[in-house]
Amino acid sequence: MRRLERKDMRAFLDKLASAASLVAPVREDGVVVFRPVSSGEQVVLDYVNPVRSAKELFFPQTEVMFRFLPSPVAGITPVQPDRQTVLFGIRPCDLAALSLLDEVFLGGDYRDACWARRRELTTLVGMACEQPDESSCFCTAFGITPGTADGADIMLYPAGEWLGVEVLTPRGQALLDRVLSDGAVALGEIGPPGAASQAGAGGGAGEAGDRLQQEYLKRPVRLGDRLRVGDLAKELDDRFDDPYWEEASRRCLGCGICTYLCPTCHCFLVTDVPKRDDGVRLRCWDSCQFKDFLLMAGGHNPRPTKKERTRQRFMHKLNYFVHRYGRYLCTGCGRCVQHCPVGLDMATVIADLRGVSEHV
Amino acid sequence: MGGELRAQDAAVGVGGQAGTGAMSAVGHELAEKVGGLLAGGEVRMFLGYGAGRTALRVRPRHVLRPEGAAGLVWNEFCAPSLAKYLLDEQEEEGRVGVLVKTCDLRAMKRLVADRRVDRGRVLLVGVGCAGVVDAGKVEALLVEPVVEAGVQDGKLVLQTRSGVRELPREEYLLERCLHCEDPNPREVDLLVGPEVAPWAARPRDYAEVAEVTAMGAAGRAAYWDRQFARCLRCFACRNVCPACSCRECSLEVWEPMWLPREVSVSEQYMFHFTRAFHVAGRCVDCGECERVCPVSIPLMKLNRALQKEIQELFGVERPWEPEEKEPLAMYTPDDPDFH
Ligand code: SF4
Ligand code: SF4
Ligand code: SF4
Ligand code: SF4
Repeated sequence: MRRLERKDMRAFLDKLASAASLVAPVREDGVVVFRPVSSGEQVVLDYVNPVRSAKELFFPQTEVMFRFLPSPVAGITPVQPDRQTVLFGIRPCDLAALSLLDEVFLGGDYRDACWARRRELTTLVGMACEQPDESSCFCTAFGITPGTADGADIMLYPAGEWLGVEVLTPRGQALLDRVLSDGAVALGEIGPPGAASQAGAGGGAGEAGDRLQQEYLKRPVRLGDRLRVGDLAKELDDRFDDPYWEEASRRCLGCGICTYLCPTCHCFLVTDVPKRDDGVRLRCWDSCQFKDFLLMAGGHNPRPTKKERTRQRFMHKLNYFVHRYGRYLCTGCGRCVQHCPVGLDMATVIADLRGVSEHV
Repeated sequence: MGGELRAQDAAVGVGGQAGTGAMSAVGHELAEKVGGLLAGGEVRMFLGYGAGRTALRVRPRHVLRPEGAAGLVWNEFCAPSLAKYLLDEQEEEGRVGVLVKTCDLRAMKRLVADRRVDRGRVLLVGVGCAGVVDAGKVEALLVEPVVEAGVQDGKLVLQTRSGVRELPREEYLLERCLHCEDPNPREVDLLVGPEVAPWAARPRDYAEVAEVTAMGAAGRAAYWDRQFARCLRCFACRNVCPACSCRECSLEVWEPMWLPREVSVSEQYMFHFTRAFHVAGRCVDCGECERVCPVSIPLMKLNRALQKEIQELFGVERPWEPEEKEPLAMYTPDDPDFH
């Protein structure tokens, strides 16, 4: 692990922006969102997590899959993104969400070309969480921590006046080499001043870096520490018919806040938009909480009421997905906890199902 | 039905009941009255509030049995309007009780006027309200969760693990409360709690509309482009709105597809203008759409701009009153513009 002085952060970001198209957290009308930026100035560093998750960088709300031409010249042209991108500031929970979505889009018999292409083109610069939100963050419920770097190409660990910089992949190394190439920004060694030059002195750079990392891996996340899921998936095998679903679902508004903010929800619909001379096939986000989500031609709806729709959302994340992929489909990012207008969120439901208190 | 108890036991947890002594007294009175209504079969369900995850949050609570009434709370964080849940209750026979503040009563009137709710099948329990706190605004200031909250001498007193914090209450109230004309709901079937002293409500001056108008055409376009680009199209604004009660919403129809599923700048305008125009002249000015929007889109600026036009053009000041004209939803043979 190397050391980046906090005062050099803007310059570091400027370099990232010149190396590729940079996407980073910005504050827009008081709301933090990931946005393309052209300089370090625009980036905010005092954020918990952008309200719209990182998934949309790889699975946009509307994606053009291909263009088609009508007969007699019928044909299709796939549309593929081609810009090298750097995503800066992604948190451990969103990193974990990308790896969950890799299972869906890349893990089975089909490889989703759109998702794969965007993943290939994007270098991830993760940011460990200095200040988890105590009333909504609950990543530790799923074994993720404020310091979990899995999936990042480069991980940053804030440490007061400086940040620890850990390179995790060759892609991360390549990006860092480009950023440092002209010498405008330099990284230092970690450890007490002068420690690097006194090779062999107690508590060298390596050890100090490990300590910083360990500190992040063990950082408490109050809500998550209380909600550890353990065997919940198994317990739910028998709770499909639990009256809880109907009772809890009554307060649901049937909106798409929870699913659209969620970094792991990935349902979509496919629609063709014909124009006069050509047309496009689009893939657009959809939500299992919408009442027409499963509506069939002919009018049959297998999930006709809020009860079935609420149950679907939680069972999918806490049971079905676990059966299929061996992992829970929630990373405890807390977006639904913060934004569901009626408190029918993942933390509440886990607390209810397990009979524990969610109050921190 | 066993599930109801389980869900509610968990919800009542450690956070307990927020609110001042006087307010929890109202909570007790409410619980007692509602218990009686359910036990006596006067209502088959009651819609109120239960405790939420922190002291700043409450949750809508559907109470089906007399024992469930004990979990009802009333405090200065009871923001959500409950009237719209009545749409889920149309099929089943029997009356449903609802707790209403003055602003919620306007929502009720809207639903009744639009013939989506039968007033005869609703029992309105009114509660005087001294203003509701915008929990989001308070949360933005604090890192730690609020364990207990209440009001003392006009100050919002918040207890967190590491200490007590006091805030000037008025600065943290919801917008709609600052303009509230009468804190005590009239025309209800039953009242709980004491009369609340009226305060000098600020007149509606449409300052937020003037602010946007002052941006000029190009500035306005940039402003709304940026806002709409953030919109998730989650439809929470529509789902919570008492003026949006169509059985089938045009935004979701596939054939013809009024609103393409594509989320682009122009389609976002299509969506937002459709929503705003559809509630124009019917909007009850509750601000629920803006309150629930997860990405802070200032929807009330659109709603108020139309409200202002309708006031100036047709003299409609209080569109929620049943005797009021609905200029965009009525027909008259002596319309001067009739062709
Ligand atoms: S659970 Fe909450 S956010 Fe999700 S659809 Fe229901 S009301 Fe909306
Ligand atoms: S279910 Fe909620 S907490 Fe879990 S990942 Fe989705 S939005 Fe985040
Ligand atoms: S949930 Fe965990 S990983 Fe995500 S922002 Fe909060 S502390 Fe960080
Ligand atoms: S609630 Fe907000 S984000 Fe959702 S559709 Fe309405 S304006 Fe868009």
